[in-house]
Amino acid sequence: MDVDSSKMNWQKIKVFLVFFCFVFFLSCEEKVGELPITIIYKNGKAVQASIKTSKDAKAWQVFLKGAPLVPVLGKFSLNGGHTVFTPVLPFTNGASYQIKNGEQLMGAFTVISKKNEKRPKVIAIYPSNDSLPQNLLKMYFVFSEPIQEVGNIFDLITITNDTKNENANAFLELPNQLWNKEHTQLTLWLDPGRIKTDLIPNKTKGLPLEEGNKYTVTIGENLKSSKGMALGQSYAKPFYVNPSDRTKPSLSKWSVVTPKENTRDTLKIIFNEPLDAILGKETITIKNANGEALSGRNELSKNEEEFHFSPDAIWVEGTYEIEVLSILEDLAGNNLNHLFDRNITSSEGVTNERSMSSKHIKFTIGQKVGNY
Amino acid sequence: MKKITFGVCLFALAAVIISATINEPTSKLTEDFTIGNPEIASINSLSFGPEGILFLGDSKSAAVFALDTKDVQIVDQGEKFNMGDFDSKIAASLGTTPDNIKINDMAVNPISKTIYFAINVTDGTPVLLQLKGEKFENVDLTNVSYSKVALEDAVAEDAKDRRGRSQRIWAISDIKYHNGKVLVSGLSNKEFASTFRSIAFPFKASQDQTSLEIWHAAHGKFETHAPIKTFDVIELEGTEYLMASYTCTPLVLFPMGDLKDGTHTKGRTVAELGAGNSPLDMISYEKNGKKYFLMSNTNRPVMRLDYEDIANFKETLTEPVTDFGVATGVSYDNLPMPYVLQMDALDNENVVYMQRTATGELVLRSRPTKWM
Repeated sequence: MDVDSSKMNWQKIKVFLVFFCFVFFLSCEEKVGELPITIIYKNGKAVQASIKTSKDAKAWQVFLKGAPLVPVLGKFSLNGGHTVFTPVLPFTNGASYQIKNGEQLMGAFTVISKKNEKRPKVIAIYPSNDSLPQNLLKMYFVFSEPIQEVGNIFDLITITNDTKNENANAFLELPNQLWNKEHTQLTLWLDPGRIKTDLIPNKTKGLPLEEGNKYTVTIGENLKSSKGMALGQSYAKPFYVNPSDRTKPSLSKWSVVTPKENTRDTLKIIFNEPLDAILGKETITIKNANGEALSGRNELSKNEEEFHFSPDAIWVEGTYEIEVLSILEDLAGNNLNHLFDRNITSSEGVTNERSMSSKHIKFTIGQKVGNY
Repeated sequence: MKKITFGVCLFALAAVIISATINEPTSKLTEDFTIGNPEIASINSLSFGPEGILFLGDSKSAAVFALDTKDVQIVDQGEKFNMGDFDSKIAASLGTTPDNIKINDMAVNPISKTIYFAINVTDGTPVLLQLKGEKFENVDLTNVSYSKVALEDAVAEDAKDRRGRSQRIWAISDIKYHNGKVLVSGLSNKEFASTFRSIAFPFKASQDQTSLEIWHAAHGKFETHAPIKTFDVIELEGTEYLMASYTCTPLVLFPMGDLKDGTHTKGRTVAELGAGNSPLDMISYEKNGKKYFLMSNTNRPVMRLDYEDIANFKETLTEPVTDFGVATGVSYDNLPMPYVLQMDALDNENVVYMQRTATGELVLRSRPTKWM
C-alpha cells in the first residue's frame, strides 16, 4: 500500500513494503508480530513511515540497516490507529530501515529507488575556445540539472596533460566548491598560487598549464544530479595551451557594430579577444541617453569574443552608451582595472579601483551608423 | 524560631533575586530578533558569538543569520571525545550513508561546550546538529529566534537598473565574531576578488558593511587582491591583527585599525605555507602563559605558530624560496595531526577536531592543549 500525498497519479510510486517477523534477532530479541508499515511520500520523497499499531510507540527508535547503531533523528506522533515517524530528512531511496523498541525489532521497511528522474547533461564548458592561455584562471561547467551537493568534485572532474600523458593536478581543490544558487553552474580555479608570479607554488611548480601542451578536461559519467541520477556518459574538452595573457582587457580595442534605426537588429561588440563567459554576459549594459538600461537579451558569441545584445524594443534614433563594469575579466583574471598580479615596482596598471567601477563607450543610432 | 524566620526571609530574598534575574529583559543583543522560520538555504560556515548566539553563513541566500540557540548553561570543561566512524554515525542519525552527506563546518558553543555541525545532503538541504555525549540532536531551523543580514553586493547596487542579472554568489569561506562585529570572508563564483566584510552586530535594517580592499604582496614585488580562505583575529603586543590565510597560500597580517571601508589596505606576508595546500581552520590557545596559533590544512599537518614569533617577525617576506613546498617566514611546528578537516577550541584546556586517519576512517577527537 502506498499513499502519494502529492496526488501525482501518473507517477505511481511503488512502495516496497517489507515486514520481517523475527523469530530471534541476536540472542536477546523476542518474537514479535508483523506490524504493517506504510511509507508516505510527498513530492516524490519518502517523508514519513506510518505504523499500524495500538501499542505505545513513543520510546521506539528507527535505525538505518547496516549502519552504526545511531537512531534516526525524527519524531513519533499518533494519528488514529497509526504511529507516524517523521524523520528530520526524508528516507533515502533504496535504503532499509528497522524500527525497534529497545532491543526488540518491531518492523522493517525498504524505500524503493525511483528511476523516473531526468539524467543531467553537460550544457557547456567555458572557455569554449580550444586554445587557452597558459595563465588561464578559471573554467565554468554548466549542467542541465542541479548537481549533487556532496562528494569530492575532483574525483569526477579531472584534467590531464595529454602531451605528457599525466594527471595535470591543475585545479585548486577548495573544500567547498563555487556553485551558483541553483547548483547548475560550477566554477573551478586553476591553482592561483601557481599563477601568481613569485609565490612559492609558482616558483616551485610553475604555471598549472604548460605552453604548447595539449590537455583534456573530463567530467566523469558518475557525476550525479541532486536527485541521484548519474550523467551516464563522460564529457571531454580537449584544448591546447598558448602563451600567457598579461594584458588587461581594454575598451579601446573593442569595436561596436551598431544596428539600423527602427529595427530590432543585434548590437555587436567585438572584443578582439575571448573574455570571461559569465562576467561577459552580466557586466555589460546598454543605456539610452537618459541613462536607462534597455531591456533585451545578452549573449556571448564566437567563443566569447563577441557580445550580442538583442533589444526587446526597436532601436530609435539617438545616442546610447555601453556601460561595462570594471570587474569584467579576460581568461587570465585580468580585469579592466588591473592585472591578475601586478608588479608594484612599476606604475603599470595602478589605478584606484573603487572610483572606477565601470567604463563606457558611446554610440549613436540613426545619425551616424557604422563601426566604432 | 528566629533562626527559622531568618531562614525563610533569606529564602524569600533569594527567590526574589532569582525571579528578578529570570524576568530580566531580553538581552540587548537579541532584542531585535524575530521568531519564525529564517528559511536558511545553506550553511557553509558556523561561528559562535556571545550569549550562545550562533552565526551561520548562508552562501545560497547571500546572508548571515544570527541564531539564538538559548544553549547558555555554563559548562567549564567540555566532554572528552573519541568517536570512530564519525561520518557514518552522523549520516546514520539522518537515516542515510556517508556518501549522501557533507560536513561543512563545526563550532563549539563556548558557554555550554556543545559541538554544533553544519551538514549538507545530496539535494542541498541544510541541517544543524548538536552532539551531546555521543548522541546527536537536531536543531530545528523552522521555528527559531533569529536575525539576518544580507551580504551587500556592491556590484549589483551599482547596476540596480539592470534587468535579468543573475545573483552573484559569495561562497562564504569563514565567519568570526569579534568585538561587536561579524567578519565574513567569501569567494566569488565569478570574479577573482577580495570579498571581506565587517558587519556591525546586532544587525540593523540599514546595515553598515565595510568592504575591505585587502592586498598582499608576494616577496615585496607582486601584489594581488585575492580572496581569503580562513582567518582569525589575534592580539600582538597590544594591537589587534587580522591573520588571513589566502587560497594561494600566503599567511598575511593586517592591523585591524587599518581595515577601513574602501581603503587599499596592504598586509604583511608573514609566511607562505607550501604548494598545493588550502588552509581550513584557525584557532588560538594559551599554554603555560604563552599564546599559540593553530592552523589545519588540506595538504599539511596542523601547524602551530608562536604568537611571539609572529610579533617578532617584523619584515615582510622578500626572498623567494626555491625548495618545493617549503614554507618561509615565521617558523612553525608541524604537529603530528595530518588531515584535520575541522578544528575548534573545546574549552580552555582542550581542542576538538575531526580527522581523516590513514585507514580512511573519520574520527572526532578531543586533545588537551598541553600536549600540543
